[in-house]
Amino acid sequence: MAQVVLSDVRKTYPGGFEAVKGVSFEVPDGSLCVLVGPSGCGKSTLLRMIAGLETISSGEIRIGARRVNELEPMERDIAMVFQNYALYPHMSVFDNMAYGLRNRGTPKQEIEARVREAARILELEALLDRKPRQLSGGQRQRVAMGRAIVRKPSAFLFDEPLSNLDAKLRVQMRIEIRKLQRSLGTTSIYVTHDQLEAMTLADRLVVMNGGGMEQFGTALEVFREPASAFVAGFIGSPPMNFLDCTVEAPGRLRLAGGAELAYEARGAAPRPGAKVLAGLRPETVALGRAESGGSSPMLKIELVEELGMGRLVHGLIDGTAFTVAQGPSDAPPKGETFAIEIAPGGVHLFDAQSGTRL
Amino acid sequence: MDSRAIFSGRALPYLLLAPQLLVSLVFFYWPAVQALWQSFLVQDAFGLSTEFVWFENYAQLFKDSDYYYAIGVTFLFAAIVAFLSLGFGLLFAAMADRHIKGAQIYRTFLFLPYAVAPAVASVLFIFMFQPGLGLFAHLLQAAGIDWNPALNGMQAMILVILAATWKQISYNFLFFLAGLQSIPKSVIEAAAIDGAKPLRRFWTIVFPLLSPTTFFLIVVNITYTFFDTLGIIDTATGGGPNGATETLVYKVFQDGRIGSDLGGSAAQSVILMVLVIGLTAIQFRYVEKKVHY
Amino acid sequence: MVEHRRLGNLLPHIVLIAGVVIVAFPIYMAIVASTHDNAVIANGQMPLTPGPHALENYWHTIIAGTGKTTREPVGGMMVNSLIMALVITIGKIAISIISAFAVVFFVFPCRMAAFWIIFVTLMLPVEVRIYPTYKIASDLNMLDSYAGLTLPLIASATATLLFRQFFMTVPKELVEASKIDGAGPLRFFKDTLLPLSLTNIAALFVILFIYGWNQYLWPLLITTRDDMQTIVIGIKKIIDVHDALTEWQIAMATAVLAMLPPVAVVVLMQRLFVKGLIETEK
Repeated sequence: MAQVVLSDVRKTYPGGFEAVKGVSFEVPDGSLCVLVGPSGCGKSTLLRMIAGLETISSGEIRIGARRVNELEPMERDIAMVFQNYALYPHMSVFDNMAYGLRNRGTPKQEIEARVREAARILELEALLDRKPRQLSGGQRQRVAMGRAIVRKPSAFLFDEPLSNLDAKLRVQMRIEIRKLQRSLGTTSIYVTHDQLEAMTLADRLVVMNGGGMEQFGTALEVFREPASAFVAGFIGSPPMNFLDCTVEAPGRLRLAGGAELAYEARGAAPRPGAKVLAGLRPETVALGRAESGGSSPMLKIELVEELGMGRLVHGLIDGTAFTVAQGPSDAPPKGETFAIEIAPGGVHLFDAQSGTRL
Repeated sequence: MDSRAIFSGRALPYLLLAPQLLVSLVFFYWPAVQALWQSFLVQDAFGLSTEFVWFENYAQLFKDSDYYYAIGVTFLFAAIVAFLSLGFGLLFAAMADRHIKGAQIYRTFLFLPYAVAPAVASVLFIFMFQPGLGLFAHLLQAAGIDWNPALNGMQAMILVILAATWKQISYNFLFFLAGLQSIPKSVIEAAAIDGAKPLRRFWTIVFPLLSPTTFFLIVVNITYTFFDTLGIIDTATGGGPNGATETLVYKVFQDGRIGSDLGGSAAQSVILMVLVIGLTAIQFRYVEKKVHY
Repeated sequence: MVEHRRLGNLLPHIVLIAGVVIVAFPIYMAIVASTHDNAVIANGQMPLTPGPHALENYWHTIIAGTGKTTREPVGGMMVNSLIMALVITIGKIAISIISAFAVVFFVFPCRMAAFWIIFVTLMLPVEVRIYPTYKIASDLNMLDSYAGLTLPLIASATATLLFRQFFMTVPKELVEASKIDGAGPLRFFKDTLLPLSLTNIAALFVILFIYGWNQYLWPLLITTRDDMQTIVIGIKKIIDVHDALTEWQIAMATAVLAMLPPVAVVVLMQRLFVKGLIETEK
């Protein structure tokens, strides 16, 4: 049980490629922190640096109160669950879980007790004598977790553990992992590229892009107050819509086609004429009047996808793709062009150049 | 093969197979049958008449102390060469598996002995150990050992073992390396995180996972020392001194050359044939059971 | 190796350098010996560094004899070796590939029998059938000829097995598409199968060339004339002479020359070599 603290951690490869650029965050003791981002953003590299499988170019990583930069993986008191499970193919499930304890010279009876306990928690008792190749994907996954929890480490590290499972199993295992982590109370760091998995599992999210950390916060914080256009567009499904606008006056935006949008001005107001990106979440937008006239942006509908529990209305505003998500009680659109309506508070503003939140 | 992806053709397949079947029948099967047949015969002293004697030739062999001696020589030779060349092959492969600078160069060098003909390898070692002018002969003499493989049976054996091992290290190295590289890196990392130090990791994880390769190599190495080393022996010691380096295969070669006992020589060949069939069968049976990850 | 310790990174280098020394030393000694005068060598005074007689020795070895022993200049032997190796290699590949093609892509009576006949030859290395095979070759008047040197070695089960295994991985859709396009079996073979097999053929070429070049027992028996000798058995004759008369510098030069082509092949085509070895042993 321990906090994990990263301070300005960097990783540069010999050729000069910067895989991780100055990342800092604190994982509270006992929480599940998810590193999420697209492929190549450096999240796996960062996890491996925490594990000790990659060297740290600069910065510091602390597990518990200990600086671990110079420590080998086995000295860091961590356990890791790999994407392809990495079970020992020639050992039985029992031996797979006992291996770590045997290496540390744990007495035989204690090994027996701990392995059986873990097997009970993960419902693996019937499988203890089997070899990995006789198990299904989900079962192997659980053995991998069993191997980790048996060691009672200070922190768990998960490297995309659900990626190799089919969709239905993934949802099931996601819930099990969450419940397990809560009941054990072990600090966990979890890597995934799936934003839904990230949102549902995380106590804290670290959204990464291109080696850097874009935002650190709870799932709700990241969803409601995205720090950048990237985070806004990455988190949430269906993804946020973006419209190019210029600021007319504090609280008013003008779109390329001349329409106007009201936003809730807070903090320092951007100067009039500044180019911005307006972010609108599909589920916060409603379809208004069918005729044009008036200053609201007009959506020209191209396709309606019926979901049963609502529908997705895809179309164009001023030539830019735009989606509105309707709930089950909203009337399906009849017609081609509709004005869109959105509460001013639901408009996120981002600098058109840097993408940072305004 | 799937029945849909087939060409129809009456004569063509036979034509295509003809060359190989022809050569196989003429140069492989017919001689083998002849050897089998001859092993049941005994020729008289002048080679004029032959008599069918069932298994008498075989019985003779098994009463022949020379034959048992050859068996002993062969097994000793096989065991030592296999042990040394497998051991070194594994050691070098384990070291070359890491991501170190120059790995490619090391590997290229370690593959070289495979390219050298056994007979040529033998010549290289003869040279280095030649009493009077070889480097190692000098060193041995200086150490007080009376070195002369032409006279000393055990020394002749050592010379031949060295040459054969030297050659075989390459082959084992290559296959061990391939075996090591097929172990997923994440399994090794998991073991490291699980608290296993490098040496312990090697013996508890890597070596067991390498066992299909190891078993395969043991069989191949045994086959190699039984048969492919004829060139080495012929060049280095000629089977001597006094049969000290005469393996079973070499004995067949020698006895047949002299030509005095056709039946006995044929019987030896047949016994060796049975041995090869056994070894090959084991090899193919086992290769199919490779561990899957 | 997962750990990042300083000393741990030194060990592989030490071991591997020792390995390279073990592996390269005998070859190095031969090269050095081939550049010295025989007198220096025979007196046991050969230094560890190359000497000044390289050109002279190799000239004597390859082109002209030295007159001390009657034997063929090595140049001729190398030509024999080359012809033998190339014919065996190309022959084996050609025969095996069409056999594998027949067995995989056709259905005909005795198909499996034919396959087994080929497969079992794996278990009959030349060493166990040496004298009967010699007798047959002699009866067919093949002694001291290129045909005799190559034909008996030309049927190889390993190559056939390799090609068969590979052909079985060719998607059946490819065959069906060819048929729809109106291609007969031979056209399919030439236009589709052969191009697909090129890497395998190249890898096999490397392995078989080394095998052919390094042949010892069979050439020894089947050639008696000096001018038909291959370089690998030629070496034995050079050393066979009584100790005092052995021209070590020539012997070593011959050894170096005997090693040259296979070593060159392994070094230059290393990737194919590795692939070839692994594929043929499965």
